[in-house]
Amino acid sequence: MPKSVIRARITSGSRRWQIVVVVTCLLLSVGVVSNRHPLGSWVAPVTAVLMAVLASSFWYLHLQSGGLPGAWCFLFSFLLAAQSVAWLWRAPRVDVAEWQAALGCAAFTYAMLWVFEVHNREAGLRALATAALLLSIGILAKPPVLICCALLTLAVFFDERRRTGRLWHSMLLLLTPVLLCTVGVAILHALAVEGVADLAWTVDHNRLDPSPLHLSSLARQIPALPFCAAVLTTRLLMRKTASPDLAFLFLLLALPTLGMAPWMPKPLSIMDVSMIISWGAACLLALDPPIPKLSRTVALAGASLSLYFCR
Amino acid sequence: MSAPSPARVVPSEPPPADELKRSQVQIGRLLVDASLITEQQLAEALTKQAEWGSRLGDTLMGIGWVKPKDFYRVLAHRLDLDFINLVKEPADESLFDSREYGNYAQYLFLPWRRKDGILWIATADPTSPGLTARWGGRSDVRFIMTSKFDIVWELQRVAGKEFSQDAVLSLADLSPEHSARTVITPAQKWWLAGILLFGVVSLWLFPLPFSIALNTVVNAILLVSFAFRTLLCWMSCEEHIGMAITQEEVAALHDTDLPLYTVLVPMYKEPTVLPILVGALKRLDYPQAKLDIKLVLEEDDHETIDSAKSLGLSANFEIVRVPRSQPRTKPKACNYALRLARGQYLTIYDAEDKPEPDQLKKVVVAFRKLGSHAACIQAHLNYFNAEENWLTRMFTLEYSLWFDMFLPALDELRVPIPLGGTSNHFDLSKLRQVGAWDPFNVTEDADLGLRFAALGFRVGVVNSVTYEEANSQLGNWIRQRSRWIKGYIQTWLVNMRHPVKLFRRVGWKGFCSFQLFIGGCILSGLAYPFLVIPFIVWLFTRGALMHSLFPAPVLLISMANLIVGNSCLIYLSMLAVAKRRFPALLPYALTVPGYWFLQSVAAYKGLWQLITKPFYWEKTVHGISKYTHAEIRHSGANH
Repeated sequence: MPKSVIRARITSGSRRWQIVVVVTCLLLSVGVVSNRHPLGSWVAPVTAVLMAVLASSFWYLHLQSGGLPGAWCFLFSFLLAAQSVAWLWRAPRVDVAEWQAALGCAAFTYAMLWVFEVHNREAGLRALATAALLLSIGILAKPPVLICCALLTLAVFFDERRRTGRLWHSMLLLLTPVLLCTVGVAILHALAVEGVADLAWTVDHNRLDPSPLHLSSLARQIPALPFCAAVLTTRLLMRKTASPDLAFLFLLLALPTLGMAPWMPKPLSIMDVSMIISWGAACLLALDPPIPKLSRTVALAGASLSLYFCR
Repeated sequence: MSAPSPARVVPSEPPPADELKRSQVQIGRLLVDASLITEQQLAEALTKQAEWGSRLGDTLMGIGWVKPKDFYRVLAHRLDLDFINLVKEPADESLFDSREYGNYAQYLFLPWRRKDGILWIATADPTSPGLTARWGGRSDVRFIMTSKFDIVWELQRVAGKEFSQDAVLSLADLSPEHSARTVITPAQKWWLAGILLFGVVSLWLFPLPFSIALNTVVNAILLVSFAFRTLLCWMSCEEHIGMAITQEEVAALHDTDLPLYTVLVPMYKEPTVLPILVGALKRLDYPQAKLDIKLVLEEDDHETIDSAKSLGLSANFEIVRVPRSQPRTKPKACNYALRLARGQYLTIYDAEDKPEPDQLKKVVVAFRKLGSHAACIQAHLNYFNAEENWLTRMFTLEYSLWFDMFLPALDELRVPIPLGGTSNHFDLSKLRQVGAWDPFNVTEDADLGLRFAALGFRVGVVNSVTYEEANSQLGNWIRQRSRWIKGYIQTWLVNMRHPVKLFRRVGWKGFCSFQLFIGGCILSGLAYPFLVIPFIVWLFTRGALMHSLFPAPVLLISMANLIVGNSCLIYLSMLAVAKRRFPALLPYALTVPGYWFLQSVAAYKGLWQLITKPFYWEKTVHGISKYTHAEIRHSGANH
């Protein structure tokens, strides 16, 4: 039998095995979390776990497309999914809207960091368009995240656009979708006495229960920090640091600051910040998966430590 | 001329290359001796002839140094043949064989007369392989020289009516399922009647639920259509999307390898822009001797015909007079001219078009790259008068979006591409194979692109631009746009006669993109006012009826359409002009929603015309731009 056929069979076999493990973990997690919340609605935890597993599966694919071996991809994505489930486990109650908002902010950050990396690799209209369109979707995320990402977009793309057009044109290209969407929603909000535009805003924001962040207890409150530190160390070890790393560092500093600003209409909760840090680090890891064993081990240790802190 | 005396039997094989070369030089010498050209012109023409791989006569006539009649007289003398003027001494029509019309046009010969058992063949090209293959070595055949214009003229005189009839009916007769002659088939009528009946009954029995359902369906389709367009644009933001032919690839082409290229320019009552068009075609970086340019004019359009004659065009320009018949559409005129086309490839330009000079060469490279399945290559279109007024700016935004963003992405997805009105380049044999243009469809180009896809051919997009004149007057714009939308509806109806067959032919991707792109275009034009106006009215008045029409989920979709959809479409226009490097138009993209209202006006006019005058061709007046006027004045001064 040709080697390629054997390899293909092995690959498809291992993939099947991985799917079985993922589904089993999913069912176990759902069972455990549902058991933890027997009196509340079981739909909420199930939805939350499903979302976490889906997001981890996507990360698995992203890691694999970067060339990381399947087993390692599985290990990493399993740990990330486990972190999320552990969060749910220790939470006194599961609010899907809160969870959804946090995951939404994290996904938005993940996508923006990815776009910055794409732009870093090949500057051009597509990266800019993706960033601008993403920002328009970002109006569904919390304002501090949107503001930080908009500032980052300006910083990342402005220099390039300045060379190809005038300032005014560059601003238009970067910010038109988000401004149009914001203005559109604001007008509807102002016009509708009860309802129309509220629908858009209440999807996530009004039902949030923000618990303010305290700088003194950051490490204890945000278990994703070890994973984040490990990923950044890995990137340093591999000498792969680039504009997405700087953008991520900016987010690490700016988000808690902006998120706790008294004038901010929707402050960030600890869960938001933790999820953003966790998924931001995950994005950095997927952009350039750690191929050397030492780097992999460091990242894995970070992820395990984060899981430990989640308990 | 009563009886042509000198007669030569054409050899059964064409002469060898060195003999041909000697012969060309001898013809050149004869032309110099007759003071028709100078020594220097002969030397230059011989150099160009070697570069282009063409014949001396075609080279000299293509450049315009020798008048065709003079050249053919000298050639007749050189070949020891008589020369006749077919206008004065017409051919015997009874000798014409309708199955041979294609050969007559291609190889420039026709049976002239029969005398004393000898068949006299009038030819403009005695060495053509087609002529040799058909008549070579026969002792009962003699040849007589004439000019190619006489051949074309005579062929049109004898076969014009048949050509015209074929131009109208050939697709409808050969492949009625692809023809828009029947606007709506009986089966479609039953479907339409059934849907209308269902709608009326449902509205009567369940007015509110039905209205909500209809509202939801229309909104959902539009939302998906917006999403699809955003995806296409996002794909096209990539610099290297689609087929990019580089300057190196163009430079690597040898002129000797270039094929004969037919250029059709259908015109009607556009005498003023003719000098501009001629200038643009002369600027094409393609051997003039290998261009077969046909100005396709209606026979009653005397002013344009006279204007063309007065320009003293070189011999690679021909005037094709299309006989008067219904429907009077551009595709019918093109089908007529197609019978006289001789090139390997064929393209269409409008009267005011300015193609980039290397466009034909890029297309040749593109055809060679795409291989034998390629039937058509579409060039990008854009406008040279973008800055004239608001309407031209909007038109430019729209064309940039269509040709720079949508079409390359559709090409990348390998789904049917609705061709643009001009600058579509065809492999002539494949164009004939699919039945050419549908004269009953008023957007024949879009229809043809879909037919190519349905029949398994590939349509590509090439990175070359033709600049046109954007419509700068509202009435003219509405007329043009209503014709386009009417044509889209025709195209949709034709292709949806057998949806399952279409699905099998173009696949799920092609089917969905057809529905979202063509169907979505029609629906958005028709539905836009119905969606936006009631929504705005409701926002300000909060009427109870409208409130019940927009329950929460429908409201969310409507809002997504209104805010995200509109914002996205505005932004896509911005991206398109950014890609085209027209940054000055970026702010104008914010006013695009106003343009969509105009589109809706045109859509309703188009729908009304489909019912009342389905095949009526709303003529777009060209040459009204101030830029065109300035250019006409300039070219007049130079003339």
